[in-house]
Amino acid sequence: MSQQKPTGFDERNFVPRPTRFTVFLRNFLPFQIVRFLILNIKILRTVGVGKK
Amino acid sequence: MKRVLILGAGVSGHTAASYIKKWAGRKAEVIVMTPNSKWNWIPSNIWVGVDMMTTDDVTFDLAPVYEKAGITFVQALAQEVFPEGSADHEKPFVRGMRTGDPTGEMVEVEYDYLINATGPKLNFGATEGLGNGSELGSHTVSVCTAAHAEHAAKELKTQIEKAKQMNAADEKLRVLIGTGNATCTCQGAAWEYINNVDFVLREAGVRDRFDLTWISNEQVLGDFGMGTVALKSSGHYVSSKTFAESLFVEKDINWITQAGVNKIEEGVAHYETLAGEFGQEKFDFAMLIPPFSGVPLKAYDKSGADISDDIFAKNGFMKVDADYTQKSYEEWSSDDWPKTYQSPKYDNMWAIGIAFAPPHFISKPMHSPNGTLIAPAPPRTGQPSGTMAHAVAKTVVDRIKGRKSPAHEAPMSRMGAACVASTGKSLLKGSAATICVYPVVPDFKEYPQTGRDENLTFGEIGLAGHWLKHLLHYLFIYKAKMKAFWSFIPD
Repeated sequence: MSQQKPTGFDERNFVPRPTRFTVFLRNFLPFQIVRFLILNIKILRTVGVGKK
Repeated sequence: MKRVLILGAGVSGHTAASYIKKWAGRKAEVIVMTPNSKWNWIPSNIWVGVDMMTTDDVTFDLAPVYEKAGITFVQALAQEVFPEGSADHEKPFVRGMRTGDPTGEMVEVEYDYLINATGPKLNFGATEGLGNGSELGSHTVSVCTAAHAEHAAKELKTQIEKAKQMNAADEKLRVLIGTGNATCTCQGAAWEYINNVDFVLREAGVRDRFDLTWISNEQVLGDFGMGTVALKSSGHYVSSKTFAESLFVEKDINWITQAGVNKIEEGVAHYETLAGEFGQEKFDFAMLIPPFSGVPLKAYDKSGADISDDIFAKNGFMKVDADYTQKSYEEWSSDDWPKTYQSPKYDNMWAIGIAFAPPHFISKPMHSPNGTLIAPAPPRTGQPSGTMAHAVAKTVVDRIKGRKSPAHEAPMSRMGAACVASTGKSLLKGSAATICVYPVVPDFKEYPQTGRDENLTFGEIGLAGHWLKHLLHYLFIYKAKMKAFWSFIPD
């Protein structure tokens, strides 16, 4: 921990952090291939609504 | 044949030029006036800044591309607009100074339709020590242009080499990244850069020898100039504050928000906070984004009288069909934002991308007790720029073809935008935060709680985002080069 980091109770100590499993999934190839496809669809949907 | 003059060849100017030429064909003579000889895919500059791409990877020469497409390329810096013509010119025209060969020569180009897509002036001079005018100073680095990013990569490499020679007991090297002024925009680029610096330091095995600190004018981390966004993420609607803080805590990056950097000295950034306190942050390496202003264009009427104040806002951006009435934050409405980007004074002039004057901020403007405005300016780069250019190109082509249809609209208050923010470049170990928002400008009438559609606004971090960002790099450069079927690639 750097010197600027708070000690004791501080909001920054309790910010939601990913679990090890979540971090694992972020680079787990089969899962990310599926997410890649889903992300593309979701982006086209969000961007497409405005274009309508 | 009608002549369309486009000032600037960034995302918005280049998009408008290519679509107008494609749709209007021989009915339009399209001329692009820009001081730069190269097109730059700016979103990838952050990778140049960490030595994972080269300048050649993110730029290409405009002249051959325009020649092939039948677009006239004038390499010049636009300086004066005459929307009514002058004593010597029947038609409206723009006067500029050539920056290519022969440099310094003045050039005048008449037009029927004018699209101002000049982008921003990088206003380093707004902060003492950050630079002089639009020139970057010597204390910090920038990733705003490919050349700046290349310089940043060299400086970062020096720090990494220094870290490798350090002993465990040595004081850590300090990296400071963020915004270099109280009213900066473009936090996203700096946010990507700090995450990529973290990534390359880890890859080099020296991350434990660095303290990374984020400094910005955002009220909270993750504001990004959009007034914070509620993102659908991992089964929850979470604020972009939580989303960004989570990533920084995970990566052990410190942050200072609500800070307006007001002075840079060798190794020290001075800032004022919203609480009215003054602080300073030491650094060995700093990348601070400058504030943007409009490029210094002047406008004159037929008699030669200066009408710049009628055409441009005080910050140099061009006034369009927005509601510029001074209102309090509570009175702001998404309807204040422009729809057609047409000048209210001249119906053959438009401004798109960074060049148009926004009616107000998106984030709530805050002042310190000392009266200093500390708030992020609204973002309007990247994909929104392309969408605006597309709509204006359609309007111009309708006019050229004599169609009486109303102007096409692309208001940011009814525009969805995708931002894929890199957090590390590697085919298998990389990641990016994919953030989609609808609409860009919150509409609290339609979406009372957060101002945005909760089903269309989402965020996700992972390798898939990196693949997407990398794919977009190649797709958009392919599209910008106007190769086969380029127009099938969405903006």
